[in-house]
Amino acid sequence: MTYRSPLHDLSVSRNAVLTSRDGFTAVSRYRPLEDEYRTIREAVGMTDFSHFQKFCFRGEEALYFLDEILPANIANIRYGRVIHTFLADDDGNLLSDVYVANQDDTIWMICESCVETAVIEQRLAAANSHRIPYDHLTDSFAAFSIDGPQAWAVAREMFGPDVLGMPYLSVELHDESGDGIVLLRTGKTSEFGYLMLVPVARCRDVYERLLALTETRSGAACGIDVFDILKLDGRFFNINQEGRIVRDPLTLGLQWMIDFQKDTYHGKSAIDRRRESGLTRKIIGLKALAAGTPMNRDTRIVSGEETVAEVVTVGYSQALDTQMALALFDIRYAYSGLEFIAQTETGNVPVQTVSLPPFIPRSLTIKLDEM
Amino acid sequence: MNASIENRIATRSAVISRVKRDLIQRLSLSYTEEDLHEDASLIGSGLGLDSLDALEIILGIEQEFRVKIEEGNISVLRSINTIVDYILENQTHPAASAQVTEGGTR
Repeated sequence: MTYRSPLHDLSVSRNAVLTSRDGFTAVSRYRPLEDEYRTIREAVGMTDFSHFQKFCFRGEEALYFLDEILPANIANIRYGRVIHTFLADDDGNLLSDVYVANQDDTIWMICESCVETAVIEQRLAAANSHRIPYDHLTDSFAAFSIDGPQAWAVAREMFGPDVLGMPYLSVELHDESGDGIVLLRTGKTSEFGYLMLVPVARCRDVYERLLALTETRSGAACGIDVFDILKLDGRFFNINQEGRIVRDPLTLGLQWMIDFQKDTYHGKSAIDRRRESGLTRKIIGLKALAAGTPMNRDTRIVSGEETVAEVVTVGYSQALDTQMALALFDIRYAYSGLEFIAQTETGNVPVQTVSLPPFIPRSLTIKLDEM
Repeated sequence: MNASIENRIATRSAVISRVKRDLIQRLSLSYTEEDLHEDASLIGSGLGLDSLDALEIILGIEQEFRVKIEEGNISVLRSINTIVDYILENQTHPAASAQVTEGGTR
């Protein structure tokens, strides 16, 4: 059965364009993508991510259970903090981009997946030999995010000035008005970002209050598709683009999500074997140096007669004012600052590998401790 | 591989390796050089380094490469690649230095 956000009808009434994949329907966009991109890079956008899979565990045993599944050091996560990691299958291939949040005695696991929810559910159930109790809350909690250089101002209006003291990757419960909002300072755009988990019974009211605050900061509701471009030029891993295609966390540069000292996690043996063998390909960013036929997935990147890379994901970056891509490079050529030729369907386009993130986001110039 | 690309890769690769070694040693990271993707974020997300780590990194870069990073210019520390770009640019053009204040990362 296809999952629909509890805000589905509200979104439709606001002329949302919808998208469906992996067993869920969500808002693709409300306005042209370039407008939504500017909203988030210059002001603040509010997005419904209720399709994220949400699980809730309680007690210390839950941490050890998740530690045996996920590659990060979950057992040592501090109160009030969030760990960003992934869930892999037994072959060490990506299933989900995961946040684990330790909010007092409650452990939240929030998954953005490239597989259907049933696959994640089955994985958790199969691993749960000690019968650790947990709740699957995807249907009973909505999830919204506010992202952009003005997101901090919306969060301050909604939750009070103390929210500005939240470090990146932290979590708090806000129940002042009986809303029961779990607030995570996260974000995958390079701008300020806050993700909220809200009980379905309260979600419409909370959404409308947040959206009203967002609009006072020149912000607007946005869909999920603009995040493909924001993650691409903000250099955040995208499970729905390069993650879905490449699947290997090492080739994707996600070693920072792994504690290699750990004895066990799902996919460890396969990942360790690949690590010992060494990488042969690596994902690298590149930008078009001239206008021309756009690159597509699988566009070949060549140096003379030699193919050095293939494009995996591509988008138009307004921040760079050019087409940008991630490509799987032969490890010998996987360096920033080199010029190659992209062989597109109708012609050659000069391209250059770039250091990521390739620009300085506006949020990096804002000092929250001076607000 | 043509000679021009080979030379540029050799120059960049040498700096990358020195930066990674310095990061691993100074911050006692439990990663090998190969584990550190050059585009992984350093501060906030990615390696999750904090402002004290940032000071250590700046100190290391200044000592190891004899380049000056202006106080508060943490935009250089977005990733290993942006550090390497800064080193290569400032070893040639020592006066160049972007001015960005410290702030939230996202």
